Amino acid sequence: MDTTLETAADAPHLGPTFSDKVFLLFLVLVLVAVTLLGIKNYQEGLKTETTKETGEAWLAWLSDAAEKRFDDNYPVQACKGGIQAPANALKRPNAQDTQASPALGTWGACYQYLTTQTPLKDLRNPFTGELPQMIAQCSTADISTAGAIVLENLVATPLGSATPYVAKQLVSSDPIDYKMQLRLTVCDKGGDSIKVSEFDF
Amino acid sequence: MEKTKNIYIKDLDIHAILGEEEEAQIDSNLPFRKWVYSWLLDPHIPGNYHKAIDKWVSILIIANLFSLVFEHVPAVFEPHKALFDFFDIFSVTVFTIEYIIRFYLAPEEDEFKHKKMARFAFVSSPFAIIDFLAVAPFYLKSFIPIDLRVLRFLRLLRILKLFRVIVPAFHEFQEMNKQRTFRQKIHALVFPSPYGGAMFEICEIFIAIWVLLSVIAVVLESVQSIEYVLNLQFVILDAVAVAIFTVEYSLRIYSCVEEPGYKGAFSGRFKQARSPSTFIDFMAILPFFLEVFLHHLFDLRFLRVFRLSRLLKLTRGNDATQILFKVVSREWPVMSASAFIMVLLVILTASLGYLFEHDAQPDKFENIPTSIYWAVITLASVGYGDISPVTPIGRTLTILLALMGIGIFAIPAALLSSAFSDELVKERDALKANLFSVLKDGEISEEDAITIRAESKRLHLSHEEINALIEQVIKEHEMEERSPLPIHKIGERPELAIEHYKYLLSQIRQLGIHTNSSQFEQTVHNTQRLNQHELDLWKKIQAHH
Repeated sequence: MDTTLETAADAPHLGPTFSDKVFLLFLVLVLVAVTLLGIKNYQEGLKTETTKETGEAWLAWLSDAAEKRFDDNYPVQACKGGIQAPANALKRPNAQDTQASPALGTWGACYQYLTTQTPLKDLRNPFTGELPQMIAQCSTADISTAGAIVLENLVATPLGSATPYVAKQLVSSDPIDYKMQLRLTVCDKGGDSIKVSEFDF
Repeated sequence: MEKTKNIYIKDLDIHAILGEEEEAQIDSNLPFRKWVYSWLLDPHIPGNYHKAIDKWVSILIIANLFSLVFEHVPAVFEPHKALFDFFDIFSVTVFTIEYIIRFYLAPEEDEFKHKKMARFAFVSSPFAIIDFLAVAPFYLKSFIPIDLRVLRFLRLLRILKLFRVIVPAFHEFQEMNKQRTFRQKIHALVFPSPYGGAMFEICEIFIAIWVLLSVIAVVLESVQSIEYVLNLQFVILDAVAVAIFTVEYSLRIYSCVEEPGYKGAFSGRFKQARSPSTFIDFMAILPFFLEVFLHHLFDLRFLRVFRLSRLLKLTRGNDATQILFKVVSREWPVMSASAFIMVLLVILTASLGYLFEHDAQPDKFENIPTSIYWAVITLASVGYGDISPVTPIGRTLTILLALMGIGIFAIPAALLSSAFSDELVKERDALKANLFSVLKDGEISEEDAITIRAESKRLHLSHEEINALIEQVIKEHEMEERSPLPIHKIGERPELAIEHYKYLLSQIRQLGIHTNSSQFEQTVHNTQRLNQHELDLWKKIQAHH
């Protein structure tokens, strides 16, 4: 920036002065900086878009399965409806999704099938490059939740309750033998939740 | 600024003073083509449809740009494809009609009428080529299969039609700033000045459009279903808006030293940066940079709400906010006294509420801060009802509180309202005084007309109000007309000068009648107060009597 005050009367010439050129250079630098930051934001936005696409892929598979999984000839046993899980399988508190050979009729078995046998196994969390983690809820205080998937079971509450349903995370030991209502949410770059859809499974 | 023409009181025309155009006076006996041209395209006839056509075509071009942008968003385009198609057909129809009219009227245009083949000259002119390119792809796709992306790119050329408005404005700007420095030119672009012309207005409109777009985007971002599909578009729009606002902010800071009162490379710029309007500009861009740099450390999404402060940028050209600040600062002592009474009342009643209700409802009147919430809600006549007294003394207190609240909370509102009204009366009185001084010399120069125009616009005065003010001033002026005009003003007009000379002669003759001539001459001789020429002239005037 210049330190002298110019007026038309005392200006040596009317074209850009040295200070004008410095200012123009500054302006160009500012524009370049804003452009770079804009591109950075756009790339972050693309990651969020990829996360949404991951959620939509899960939604598409689960919604598609929802229409057929109660059919007798449904081929995917792990996600088939109507199969009662053994009582002891259901008692496992907060069983981890990665647990080895979960019992048929539980979400754990279906999840294992989805993440090993279907195209969903190739989907990656764009923020970590790993398989999208299933978490209880997105958290803005925990940025590691970015790109994660929240799959909740919407359980209807008794008539007259203040809320029509309660949502709880679908865990490995949860039975899936009945028609369920699920909510799929993904977490954006800041750990904020983006609802993808509520659907029957 | 160059003085162009003067308007005399006897010829006063409110439309001329306010710079507004009455309906064009076009002779209906003109040849048909000339007549149509005069009504539609002649830029030299005030009050015809030329400006309106330019304005609406510009709006349509901008709408086309938005349509083109949204066509790239499948979530918006797919469900409304028919609407987009209809809009495209409508736009092409309008642009085609415009092209045909311009083609037909080309022999009347100043630019082409002296050329041998006026229409050919029109067709080959840059503007006409742009106009043609704006519509040609639409017709071309009916005959040749064109890739959709190419077609969209060609439609982008419609934006070039805006040059019909921008190019003349740019030439005007260049002309007005011929002998000015680079920084002064920048100043004329971003600050109101006599050198900005139409280019300044275009810049203002451009910024206003981006302000509105970015604010609409911020509001829509909060709608989950919209944000879900347009997330990336919002990111791009925000980056572009920030780039534009950052450039504008830099230009304002750099060129502010040309503003009166902002001299000094550092002190002037610092003063400008501290001014409310520039601070608002800064707040409009700050969240973007903070969020980009610090989002890994903190959750800074709350900063996005501050992007709504961009809306305040629109108040820069609006005087209402300045009047509000002026009124509040003027009434601040009274308002602060009223606020103090309110605070006192709130704390007192909250404490009493806590005292009387805590035992009966320990969960609701848990402490004095909770009771303050109840007191404010009751005093302000909001009355949510989530906390209410149950004891008789608590209810009595509430009745008193509610009644007092009506009066206490009404005081600041009444103060503001009356102060606002006073301020407007003052401003109008100032305008009246201004008008009086302007009309005192019996004429209104173009500069005076510009001042009146700006003031009447600022005070939102209607034609009738301005007319009434002018009439009032003229009456007062006539009352004062007996008092002589300033001598330099009389001297400017020969007919007045002659009349004044005759008046002075008659005054001298009257003086001669009432004066004893021998004593007069004796005194002149004794005191030497007049020279011989002056005495001879006196005698000559008196001799004709």
